[in-house]
Amino acid sequence: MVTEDKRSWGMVIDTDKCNGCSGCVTACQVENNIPLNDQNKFERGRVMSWIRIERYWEGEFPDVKARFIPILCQHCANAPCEPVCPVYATYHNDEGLNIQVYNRCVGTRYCANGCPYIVRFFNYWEPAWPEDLRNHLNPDVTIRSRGIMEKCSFCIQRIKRGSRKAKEENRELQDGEIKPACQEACSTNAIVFGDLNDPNSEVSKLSKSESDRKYTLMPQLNTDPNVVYLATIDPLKYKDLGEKAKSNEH
Amino acid sequence: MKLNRREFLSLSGKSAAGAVIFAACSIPEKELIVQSPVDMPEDLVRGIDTWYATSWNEGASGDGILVRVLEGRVKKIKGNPDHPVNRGAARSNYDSAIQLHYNPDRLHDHKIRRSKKGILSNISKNDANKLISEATSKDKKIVVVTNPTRSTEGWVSEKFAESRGGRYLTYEALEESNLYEAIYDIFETNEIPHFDIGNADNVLSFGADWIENWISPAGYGDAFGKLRSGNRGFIAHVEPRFSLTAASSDLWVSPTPGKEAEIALSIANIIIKEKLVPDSQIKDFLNKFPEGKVEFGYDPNDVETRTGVSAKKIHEIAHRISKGNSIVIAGGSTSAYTNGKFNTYVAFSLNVLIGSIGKKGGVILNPEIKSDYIGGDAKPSSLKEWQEELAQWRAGYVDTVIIKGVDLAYSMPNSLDVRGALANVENVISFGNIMNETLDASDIIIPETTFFEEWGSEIPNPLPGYKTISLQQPVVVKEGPGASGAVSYVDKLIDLEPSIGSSNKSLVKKVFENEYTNSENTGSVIAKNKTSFMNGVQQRGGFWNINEIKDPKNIRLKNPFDYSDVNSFSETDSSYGEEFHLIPFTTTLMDGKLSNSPWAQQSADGITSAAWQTWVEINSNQAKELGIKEGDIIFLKSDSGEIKCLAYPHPAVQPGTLCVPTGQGTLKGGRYSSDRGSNVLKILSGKSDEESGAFAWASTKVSLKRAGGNEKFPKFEGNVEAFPAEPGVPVLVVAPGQTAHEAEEENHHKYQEILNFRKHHDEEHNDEEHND
Repeated sequence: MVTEDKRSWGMVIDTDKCNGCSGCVTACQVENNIPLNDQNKFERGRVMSWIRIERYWEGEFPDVKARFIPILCQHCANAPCEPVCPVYATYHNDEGLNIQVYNRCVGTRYCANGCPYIVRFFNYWEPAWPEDLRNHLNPDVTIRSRGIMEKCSFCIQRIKRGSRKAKEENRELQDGEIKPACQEACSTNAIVFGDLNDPNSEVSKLSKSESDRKYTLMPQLNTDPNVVYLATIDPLKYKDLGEKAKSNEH
Repeated sequence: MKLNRREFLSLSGKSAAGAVIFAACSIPEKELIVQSPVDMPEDLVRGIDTWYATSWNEGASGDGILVRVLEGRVKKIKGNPDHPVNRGAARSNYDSAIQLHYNPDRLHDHKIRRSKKGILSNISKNDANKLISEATSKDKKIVVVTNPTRSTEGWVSEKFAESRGGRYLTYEALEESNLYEAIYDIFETNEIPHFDIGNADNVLSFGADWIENWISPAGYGDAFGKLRSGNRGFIAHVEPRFSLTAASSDLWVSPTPGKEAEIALSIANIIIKEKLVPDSQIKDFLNKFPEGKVEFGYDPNDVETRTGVSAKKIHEIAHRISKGNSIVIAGGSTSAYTNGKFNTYVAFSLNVLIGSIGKKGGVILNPEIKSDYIGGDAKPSSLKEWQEELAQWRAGYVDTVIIKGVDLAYSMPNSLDVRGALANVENVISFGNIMNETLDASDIIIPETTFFEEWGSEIPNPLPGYKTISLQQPVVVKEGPGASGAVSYVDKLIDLEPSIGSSNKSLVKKVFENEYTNSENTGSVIAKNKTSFMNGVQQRGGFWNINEIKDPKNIRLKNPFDYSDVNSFSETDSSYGEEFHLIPFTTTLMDGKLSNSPWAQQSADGITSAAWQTWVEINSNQAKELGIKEGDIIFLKSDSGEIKCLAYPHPAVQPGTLCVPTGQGTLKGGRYSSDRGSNVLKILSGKSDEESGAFAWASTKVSLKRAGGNEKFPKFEGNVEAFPAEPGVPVLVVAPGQTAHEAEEENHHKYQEILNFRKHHDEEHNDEEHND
């Protein structure tokens, strides 16, 4: 493991292992005190979700396929959201994280306009939970007030907790010791998180291997994301089984 | 130019061009680091948290979980990596249970209805206890009803019913008693086997949506990840509905509903004709089949005509599952037709043909665990049993019914008229923590503890191939926030019948003390005495022993054609509208159990991305023909009732079928579940499997009618603007061995060809117009 100031946190998402279960989405909501998304928010397209599962269709019945991909803040090295913030509420730290400082944010939303991945969310309303439900809020994470932009932090509270623990125990942070909520909830292990600068970390090996399935989203924009995807494998990609059914009894 | 932060903010505040100045002035990096603290608020809070190992009790799979508790409050749930059932994997709805615990609508008081036509009102615990004691005295005819479970809770339910000479039944909305029947007939065991998906090369599943909600989805999720690692296994899925398992498979096959066995037999036909497996396996498989039946009756081309599934796909599956470690699974809708047992048996019997039983990456039989103080049944009571039981209630032969863990009034079809039956029972006593339809139809309501506050022990279903008993332990105090007044179900029954034991906690401890005595220092916990052993069990979340396994017997198949193969559907009203097959399915809300959790409600469905509503999935081309658009209000009518839902057309629905999720439409729930959507379970026809009496919940046909209106469809899709993109963006698909770069180049060339074709076409079109 490299020293703290030379870390670059990153993530590899294997789309071949993503089955679209949304476990990561709920886990992120729970961990990060994301406001409840009621029906109205779904109807108006105002759902707040730091990580989302996008589903794409291919083909028509009966030869139809659905492809899933989880999308979250890409923590770009050349993040388009950073230079447009007039108050430095969003900046890049020396651990490769794209940070959102809530108490600096003045709500210009320039960063959301600049983000090509559409992973920044603006609090148009003051978040509210019934009194009983406030019991489950995570005290490690700030509740963002109205007028504030928010987004995936790679569960920075877990990074800090883990780093501190390692420091207290006078040892190096181990690869895989810190898991963001989405990775922890992914039953298929499609999400791997770790230090991209550590050549021995799993995330580093997966993202740097030459003859593999790795790609990044919107490479033409040169944002240099810290989230790398692995392509879905289709064993029947070049096999024609598409003979349409001759009849269909109903 | 040199600026400090204060000057900079001041300047940018005065000028609209602040952002431009900021970009141009290049503030020294050092200052950025100092002034942009890494210490976000996230870095300042530091509570001490505790993680407890327990088990998730909202389903019957007995998954091991770790619960994070901070300042006496439950904060988070994750899978227990130590537990052999789910090996650290989690279900998407684990956390939703936290919101049931801290639910603003949680019941705190006992309630009573003084006459059948009266209203429910609060009553003191002492007064309620007196009435409960009278209603459950030894002279009363008592029936105890719970969800399917093999646990201390199940054992106490059985013992209590026995003590009153009564009966104990279980109910599950979309029940799968046919699964247990078929497994028993093939493997001579009541235990669902361990399907070793993680080590398989090929998986063929029939109807069982094992990725989203079938039996043990967390454990299967972990196995799916392993299957897709290394040599990457192949998954084929046979189901009329496009479930998450269908979506995640490599080959989805959508037969006409009820024809799944034909696909299985056609696969067998190819394997036998082409001798794809050793002769001995073919001999074992054909042992009891009528001679020539499989070889001549299920030619793939004939089956294609009968089921709508292309012969090419059947060939592909047959060749795939004949190689390597392969496994065949069946359940879900495949087992829920009037010929469900036949379908399920035939599908499972393919395991004999491909030789997968008792092998790594195959079907591993589970030991049958006998344990004192653990009782009940994982197999739900069949529809036939329930019809007979409700007739007893209706006739007034039962004095008291005790219900726990299942909302009968919500989840039974209208045709069973369970509310009418409950009205004829003198005392209906229900346990629950949030109001539901059954509680609303009860005479006495007892506010119940959640699994975060309670002891328990459970035999997981299915076992991981060896003996396992999950432990449930309290992680927060009973009288903690949100839980005042709650009563333990087991302790209450013990209170009414003290001969059962002294307390729930003592019974659970006895379960593990017996394990200590019998384990002979083998298993997951080895200790010097019972106290240390129990400490170990609490630390690990249960006890398991990899040495307690089952030897596969010499499987001899029966003739499945002895079972009923009558695939019949309910009648519809042709004057009402178009006729469709109706396929209900469960989502994160399960059978409505989690519907008062906002997290469960807002968890967007994997296929449609819909939330908070009841929708009906219809084939997009068929919807176009019928003039149906997304959000159109649709009425569905069966012989058991009528519901309203919103249309969601998509390309992966089989024409002629409609798929509707369960979980919504409760008539009596909390603030997040009431007045929302419709209850599809109500309109399921009361048809059953003629062979086994199991509920044929996929054998309902409905008539569809447009109501004429349209509502905004609550879905996540469309929240994010979709950009026009080349094929393969953003989900890149590669063939085995192909790199991402090669696939990107290929996609790009294809895209250019399409653009050139369009350009050429447009030019030609313009020329034609010009010439005209």
